Amino acid sequence: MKNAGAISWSEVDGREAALIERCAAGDEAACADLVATHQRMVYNLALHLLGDCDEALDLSQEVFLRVFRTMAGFRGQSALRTWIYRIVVNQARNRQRWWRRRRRADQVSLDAHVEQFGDLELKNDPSAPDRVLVRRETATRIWNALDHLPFDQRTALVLREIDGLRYDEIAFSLGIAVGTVKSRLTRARQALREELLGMR
Amino acid sequence: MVPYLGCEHAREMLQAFMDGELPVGEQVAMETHLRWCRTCAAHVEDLRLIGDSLRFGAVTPTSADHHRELSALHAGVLSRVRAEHDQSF
Repeated sequence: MKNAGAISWSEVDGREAALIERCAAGDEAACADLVATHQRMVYNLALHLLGDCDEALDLSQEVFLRVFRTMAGFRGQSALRTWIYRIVVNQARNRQRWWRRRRRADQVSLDAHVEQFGDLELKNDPSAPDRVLVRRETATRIWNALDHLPFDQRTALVLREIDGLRYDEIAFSLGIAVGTVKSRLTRARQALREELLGMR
Repeated sequence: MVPYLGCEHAREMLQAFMDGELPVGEQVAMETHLRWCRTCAAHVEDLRLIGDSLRFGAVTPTSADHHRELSALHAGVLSRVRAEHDQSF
């Protein structure tokens, strides 16, 4: 059995370290476990960055294959989850260059999401219907504005607001300094705030 | 005693405040500032609304289609891992 190498595992707990070593050694059950644990996160992030289910599914497969191919080089420099985020972002960045041009004419609207995936928890929303409509309209406008942001700003904001990553985790995922994360978030939010102010 | 925080300085910290990235002392100073400054409070509300809208519009698929896609992903990855593993021997 291959050994994953001398790893500090400073950011990885014992159970995860054992799982990584088993994956690096080619243990199929461990690989299945890792995919099951992270597939929703990977797929959802890919979908939020690319906006297309088929593309997200295809990219997610590539992400996991890349994870397993490079697993032996993982040195515990971040949590496994953050390391996988980084791979998703890199793969999505490469793909979106041509994909967004193709997609621009056929953007996925919030309504299309609702039709495909079901209502966005509206069934349990106790708010009055008109409030729900306003909330939905605002979300649609904000998502459309998000879609027009440069990839790195959009990604930083998605990782912060939807995935809930800390600044240092976003910095690792994007391969940039924390200060750059802050400035990208500021610019992204400023652009979305202008959209919001334009609605009033 | 909470130190005084002026608007100019507060605006520089609004985002980190929203993101929970400030040290405790500055977080408290910001909360105090927001109690009396309507301009900064309105800015914070806008940032909150942006975050809420992004999460509200985010895909949280619960449909059978989504489960099928995740199953297909799981099966597809393992099939390719197996094939690559077989090829390496």
